[in-house]
Amino acid sequence: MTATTHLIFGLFTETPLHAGGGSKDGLIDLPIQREIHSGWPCVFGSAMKGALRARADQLGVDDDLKVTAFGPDTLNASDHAGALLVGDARLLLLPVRSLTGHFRMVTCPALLRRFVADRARAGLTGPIPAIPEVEQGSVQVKNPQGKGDIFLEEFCFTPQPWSTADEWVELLLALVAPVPGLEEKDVRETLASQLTVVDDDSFSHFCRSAIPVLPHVRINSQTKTVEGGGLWHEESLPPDTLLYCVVAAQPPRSKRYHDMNSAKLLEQACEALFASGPYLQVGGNETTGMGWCRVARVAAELPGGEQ
Amino acid sequence: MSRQRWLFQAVDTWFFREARAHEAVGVGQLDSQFPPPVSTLMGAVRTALGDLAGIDWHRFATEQEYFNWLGDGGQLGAMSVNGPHLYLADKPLYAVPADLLAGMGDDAQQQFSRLRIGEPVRSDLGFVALPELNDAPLGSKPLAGVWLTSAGMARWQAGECPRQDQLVWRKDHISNEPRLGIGRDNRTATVQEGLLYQTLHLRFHSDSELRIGLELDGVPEEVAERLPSVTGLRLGGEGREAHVSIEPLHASQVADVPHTESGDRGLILMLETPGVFLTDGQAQWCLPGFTAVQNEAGLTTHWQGSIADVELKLISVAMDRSQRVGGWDQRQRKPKAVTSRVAPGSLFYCELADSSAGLQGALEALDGQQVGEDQAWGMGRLRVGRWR
Repeated sequence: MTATTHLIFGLFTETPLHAGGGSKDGLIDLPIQREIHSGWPCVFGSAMKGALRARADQLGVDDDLKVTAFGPDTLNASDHAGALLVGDARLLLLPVRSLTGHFRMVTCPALLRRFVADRARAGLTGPIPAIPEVEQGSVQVKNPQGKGDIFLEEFCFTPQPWSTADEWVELLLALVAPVPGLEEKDVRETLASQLTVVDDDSFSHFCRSAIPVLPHVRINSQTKTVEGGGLWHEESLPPDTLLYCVVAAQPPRSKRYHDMNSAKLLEQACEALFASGPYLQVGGNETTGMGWCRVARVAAELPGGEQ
Repeated sequence: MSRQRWLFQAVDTWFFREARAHEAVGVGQLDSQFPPPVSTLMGAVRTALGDLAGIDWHRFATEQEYFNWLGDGGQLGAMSVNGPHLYLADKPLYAVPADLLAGMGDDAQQQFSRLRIGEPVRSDLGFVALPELNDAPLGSKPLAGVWLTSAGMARWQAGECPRQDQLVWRKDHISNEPRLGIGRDNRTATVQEGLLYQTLHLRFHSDSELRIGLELDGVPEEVAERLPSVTGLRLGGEGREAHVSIEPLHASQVADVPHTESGDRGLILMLETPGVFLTDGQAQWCLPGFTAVQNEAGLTTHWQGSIADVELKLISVAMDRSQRVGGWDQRQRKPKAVTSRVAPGSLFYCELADSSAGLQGALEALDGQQVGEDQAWGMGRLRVGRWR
């Protein structure tokens, strides 16, 4: 149906991101949001939509465009629906500590498979490299020769060659917005050297054990000591995590924009949100600098299907 | 006019709010219904069709230019629906019949059994037959959170219990995902007073092929020929997306009817889709148009009526609790009244009023018939089974 237009936002975290899951999880007082069946970290679509709307508010985006895209405020919610359907931000690359060098950007076949399916749903075309098959106890990297074993956290893996690593790097690179001063070839080389694919079970383990959990205290300003009960543990996605979020636009319902098609509305909304810079604050602790993401836009209707 | 099958698959989560408001007394967390009411699905379908036809929704609300075929939230215009049904990939699933029980056998394996209809007993309904256990293991209880495959349905229709591999468990495909949400005041970057809410979303497993299907009839040809084979639509609460595939249908698939055998007592009518039984002066659980028949002592013994010209004696009933369905009336911008529907899987045990009539012919005549109100919405569709 021509009525719906899709776009993928690539979200590359520049600071820790805490999208709160709401209820205490074991020893962690403030866990992050996770997909319930897999335990993979995510940012729920409602939180992503809230973040996009907050940016529109901060930038002073035209009220009609804002209401058309995101819907009226709570008191007028029954007027019409917003045109944007904002999906969950889904994990694609998780930075994991490595004893044998710099950290590695880790993914797994299940995540890559889902990304391919989401690309297809968003109408993106182009060649897709094969999904790697990874045995337990091994990892696939671009150049395993002479590297010896690779340690991720405390686990040892045998590196295997990943024949389609370069093609995957190109696909993933489209989700990382460029930054002035950082040459694209440098970013490509860095990603190629860090990209590591592990088996699905190991990745699930890293999603539990390799996510930073930081203790926080609340200081009594007068005594300069910790207040009673003022200790809590907070989980957050680390910087350099790559997520993506599929956004769909349906035909606008507001009076001013009802003649506009969904593709045009999506284009206008994106321009209003990101023309001043490819940044979005997602999740909590905004005032302590958390949740800043670099946003890339990947759309089907652009030349070559992507930008 | 043309027919299509619309299949809805979750992209990430869905939320089909139960028929209570966030602010209702006693509400902590709002649960999600599954499958959703047909009105929810048809809301998405009508929106898609209207967009495709180029409807100006602001005029639609007042001028009703397209009303004759597209209808509104109360009546479907020229369209009608068969469903909703669940599908696993492209294989249909069925609500589990209310007489099917699961318990633990002596060998510590799950054992299925079916209720049987006992001898009449005196009760508040009269001198009527009620369902009772039939050699079921101790602790057996009705199956919940499960659907039958076609093969399982065929075994039930034939009077048997389905096999374990003919059941599809909800927990293997969907997890309940609790959400804690806030309304945020972006001017102050704080939570809006009173806007903290808890919901339970349905998270579909990555490898799940569970889909919701509707068979839709009555779309004008000029609109139907422009329908795409796949699209994305808003479905349910919180603006969640559904991946939708649309395929033309040329004829309804005719289901197999079980073969009766001599000695069969009668037939069982199973509601495949929810039933809306609102006949004046009649209990809402009873088949519409059926009236109580009393003995010389003035006690009701059974109910009698006809469906598709087959005169039936309703002897007993087995059913789950009724479904409560509300919704939002976009046109009037207010909640719809909450109504009760007889749950899918509810069973009506019937004998032929004319015992000389052929039971096999009755089964064939009754399978696929609809009873009650809102038949254009697919309500009250019947499947038949043997009552041995």
